[in-house]
Amino acid sequence: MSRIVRFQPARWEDLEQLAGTLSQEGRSVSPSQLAAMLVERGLAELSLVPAPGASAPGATRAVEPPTALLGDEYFNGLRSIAQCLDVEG
Amino acid sequence: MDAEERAAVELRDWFNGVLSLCDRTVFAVATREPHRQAAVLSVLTRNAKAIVHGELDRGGALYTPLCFVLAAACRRLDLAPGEREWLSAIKNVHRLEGQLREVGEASAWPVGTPASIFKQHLDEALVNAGVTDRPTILDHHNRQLALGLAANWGLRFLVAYAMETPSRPGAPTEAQDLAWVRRAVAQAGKAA
Repeated sequence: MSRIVRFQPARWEDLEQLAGTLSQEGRSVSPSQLAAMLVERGLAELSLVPAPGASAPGATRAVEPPTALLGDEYFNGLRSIAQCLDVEG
Repeated sequence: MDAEERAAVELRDWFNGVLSLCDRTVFAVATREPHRQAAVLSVLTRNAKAIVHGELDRGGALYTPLCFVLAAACRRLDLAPGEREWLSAIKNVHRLEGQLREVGEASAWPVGTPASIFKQHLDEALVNAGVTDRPTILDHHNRQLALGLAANWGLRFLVAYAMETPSRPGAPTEAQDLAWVRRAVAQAGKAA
């Protein structure tokens, strides 16, 4: 089966491996779903998604928040390596 | 200075000795910095895999890989756990131990021990840091943070692991091994 959107073999293997990891964590994710998620996330972060039917240059629509990936939640509140070592009081 | 603070100072000095020993042995295979960094990373990945794939035992088998992981992570991140960090780890373990004791047999599932809980967090942080044979989806900065968290959980795992590893029969030796760590922490636990 050939893919419409072609990836470099190494990148596709990365997607397969990462999708496999995410699937092990309880969510069933295919490599192409992960690719779509990453593209959507990248576009949303750029805030450059054009509004549907918009003709005015630069018009944008409100974008959905990007799908949260592990890094967004895991490190919520941790900004520097020094903060990783927890010190009470 | 109370017993926990004394234990924290002892552990700080002990770990500085571990760092110094690693600097003079496993990290010292090269003099050029890039090669030295490669050696540090090699020690980190090799021993991180041993921990993640290793079962929590009662014989102290994880002690050496844990020391190497902590030393390599600290050198890679330029971290130096001081008295405050060790004191926090000791207090954290003692507090969790008390909480688990309170929960006891009334819990809906086996809650495990402090060592088993901290090992789970350490394992996951090491995987997320990209230093094992499992993939990570984190970018470089977040992988560094994950390694920092691994160091945090690693300190706590070491304290809990030492407390849960029974001492071997016979007179204590001079070696600053897991039994030595256990004695240092146990004195603080009695006083707490």
